[in-house]
Amino acid sequence: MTPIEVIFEGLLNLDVWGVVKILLVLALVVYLVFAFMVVREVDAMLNTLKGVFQLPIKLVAWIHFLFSLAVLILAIIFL
Amino acid sequence: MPDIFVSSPKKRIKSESEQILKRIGESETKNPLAAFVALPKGVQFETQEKEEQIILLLRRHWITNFHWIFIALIMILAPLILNVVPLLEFMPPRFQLMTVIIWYLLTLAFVFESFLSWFFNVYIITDERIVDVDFTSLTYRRISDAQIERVQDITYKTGGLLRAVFDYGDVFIQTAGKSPEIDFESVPKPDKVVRVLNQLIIQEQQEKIEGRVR
Repeated sequence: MTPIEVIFEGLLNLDVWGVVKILLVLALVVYLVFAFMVVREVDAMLNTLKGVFQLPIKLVAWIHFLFSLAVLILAIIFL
Repeated sequence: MPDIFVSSPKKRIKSESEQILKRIGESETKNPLAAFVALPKGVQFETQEKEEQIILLLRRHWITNFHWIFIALIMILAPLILNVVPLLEFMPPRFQLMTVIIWYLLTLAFVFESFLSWFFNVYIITDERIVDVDFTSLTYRRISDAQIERVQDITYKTGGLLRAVFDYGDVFIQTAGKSPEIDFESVPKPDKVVRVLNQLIIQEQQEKIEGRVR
């Protein structure tokens, strides 16, 4: 078999959804970093303007972070 | 003879601020989500001085949030389309479910970021200065301020049907400070904002004459 035939053979037997899963998990890892940055951003914002709505805003930032963590774990286990 | 009663500077500043607001027909605002907050209770900003009193806390008029609320509603309802048009049919069932979950995660992020952008991009008028707090991205923030005594020119602009109906517009403040112009964009009651600023300038000049400058 020539190398080109090996590549073609590999492409024909490729598990497309397996590749999609890997890409999705990678994207969700990047998203998790973003969600953590949102938590830090909220802290910075609350330091700049203190007083009202501190707890609900912090809570939503953490819910968003935990939601993205849960989605990442779900993608690894479930898919 | 010693003074029988001398009010503390903080109390004096507060009562002066209340008088300024009374003159423009406003009083203390209780709603923390308002876009025009007069004498906000319990609110402080990072660079606030000990005796500095916030007179107005302004945000963009709530109607300016309409576009992202509308987009958010479409995003929330969009997966319902899948019942009618099976757009994700080509995926295995597990991937279909994950797509919907990720969609709602993105929707939550979109709504939260849009709200934060509105809630924390504020314009503050204190008895001493004007502060413009800008959060333009996740990591970038800019806080510019100008002393009231350095304000040179104030103009405001309203125009268009929406702005006329909901009474909001832009206030442009020219200063002699480091930031030559501070703009309050789409703030409610711009005429009252200008009147408050004008009265603060007069008050500042009076304080200078009386030698009460802090």
